[in-house]
Amino acid sequence: MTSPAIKLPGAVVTLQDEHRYMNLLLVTLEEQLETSDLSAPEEYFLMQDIVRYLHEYPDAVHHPTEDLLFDKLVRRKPDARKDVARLRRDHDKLRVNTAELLQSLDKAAAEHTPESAESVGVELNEYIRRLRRHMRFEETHLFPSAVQCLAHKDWQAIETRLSTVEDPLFGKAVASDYRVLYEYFANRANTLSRGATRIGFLQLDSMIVGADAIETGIAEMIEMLQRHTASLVQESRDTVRKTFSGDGFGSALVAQGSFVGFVGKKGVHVGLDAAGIYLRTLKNVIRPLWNSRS
Amino acid sequence: MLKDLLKLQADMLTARGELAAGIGGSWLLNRMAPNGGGNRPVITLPGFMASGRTLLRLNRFLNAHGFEAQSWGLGRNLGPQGGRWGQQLDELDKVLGETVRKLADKHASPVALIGQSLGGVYARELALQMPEEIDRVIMLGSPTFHPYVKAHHNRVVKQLGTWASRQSYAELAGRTGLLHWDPDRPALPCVAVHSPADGVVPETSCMIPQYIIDQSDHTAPRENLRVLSSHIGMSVSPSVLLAIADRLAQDRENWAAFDPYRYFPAQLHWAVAMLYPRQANDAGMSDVRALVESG
Repeated sequence: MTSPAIKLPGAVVTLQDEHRYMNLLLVTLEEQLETSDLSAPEEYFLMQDIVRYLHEYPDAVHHPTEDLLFDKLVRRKPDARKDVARLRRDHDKLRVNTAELLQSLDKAAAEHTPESAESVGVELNEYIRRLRRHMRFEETHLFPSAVQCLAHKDWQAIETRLSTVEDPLFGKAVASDYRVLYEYFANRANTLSRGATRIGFLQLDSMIVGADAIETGIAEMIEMLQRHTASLVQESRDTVRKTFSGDGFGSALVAQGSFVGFVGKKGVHVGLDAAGIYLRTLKNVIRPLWNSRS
Repeated sequence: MLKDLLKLQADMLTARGELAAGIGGSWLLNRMAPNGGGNRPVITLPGFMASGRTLLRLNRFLNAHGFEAQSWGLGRNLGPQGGRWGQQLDELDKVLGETVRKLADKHASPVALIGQSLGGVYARELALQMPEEIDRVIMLGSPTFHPYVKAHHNRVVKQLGTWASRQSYAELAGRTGLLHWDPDRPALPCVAVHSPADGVVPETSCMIPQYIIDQSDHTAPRENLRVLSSHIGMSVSPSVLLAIADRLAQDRENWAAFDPYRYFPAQLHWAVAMLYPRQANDAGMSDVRALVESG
């Protein structure tokens, strides 16, 4: 791994960022495979858009830029030749895999049968695993070597190449072809980042959830009081029975004393239960105000 | 579903309150609202299941303030019919285009479109088809339809829409969805009025995404306008009417964001902050990148 003390060249930072973007896409593909039964063509839209992007940008721009970095690395550090050859083969294979995967997704979307979903799922998982392994190897082996060996003019050439093509999804401006995909991620970011709004308390949603929480709290409170009252009534009956059982004054006094103790303990229990219900209700009322999307 | 039914009821009830407030405060509103100066044609489009008459009050208000407002003239908006929505949207030019062209010719001026809810979706799509004849588009709680973001629209209304169209939400949205305009096309101002108290369409579905606003320039202004209002009452709410008149009167070449504070004395600025609450932050580019960081 690169020492944190070394300032990374801009090109490496960009390539690492692009790896993180790709990882987000891979995570999204995995989520979609897990959460969707892929029984309709529209359930493939997200995956098709992601794989199309992977083919049109990482395959066409990101990997060729890395190839340029590898060329320069081999020139400066010939013993990296074996690793570089492996990564070049990976790039070639990945490019073919992505194109094939896109075709498989289009076919599966058209068929949308359980068999086609299963088959494309296997293909996708294999692709995800391969791309992740590839990126990890680059980050742990090749990038650190490049940071150590490449000269300033090498980095300049790589950065020039990187700046010629703008990332259509995560770049400075979103290309119109990728608006749908970008807005999907913007929506996810919104869901994560949006907390309380100044007028959250006025939202109808929150009001309804809040009213429901209060209603539940009142029902719990009534049930708790009924329960304690029932046990108090039972205890007082027992005390009356013991007091007038004819076992003598001492026994009556003990029964009365025990009853006073019971009432005291009961009072503490009622207070604690009521405080618990109150706090729980308050939490349930407040929570939707702080997270209006819950 | 029960919760959504309650929300719809609450929204309708709030709309009645807004109507009452509009009637009670019309004298004050008429004094405050800017004047269009005459000869400014406007067409208003009703929302789903609503008729042109629901916009009567809005039209009357605009006509009293130097605009020439009229309803779309197609009666009740029944929404997508029988699974031919895409075709309907493509044919908007034929159905409504003639009315727009005639009005534009009559006034020798492009026409402003104001659409409530689904009417705003139609206005947005129509302006894409005939940008030369359109001056600007103002949408009141108009949703977008994304092909794979799960929409949290009121399920009662969504169900009605599904019954009317015999299509699922995903089918209605289609492969590319029905989203807001691109940052630069068409080169017209577009204002999305949205409310945090909307009981039918979540405001995030109505808002123009932040990256579109960031990328747009003065030739194609894009503006989000946040007002405290019900969904159904947007065309009668006094605070929305004031905002609409202001946006219609705004010079298209020197677009500036709506500033409600200039209509109220300083003593009432606390009320303005409630009526026009601060814009909720929409996710921008940096937020999406932060999403990547958060994994």
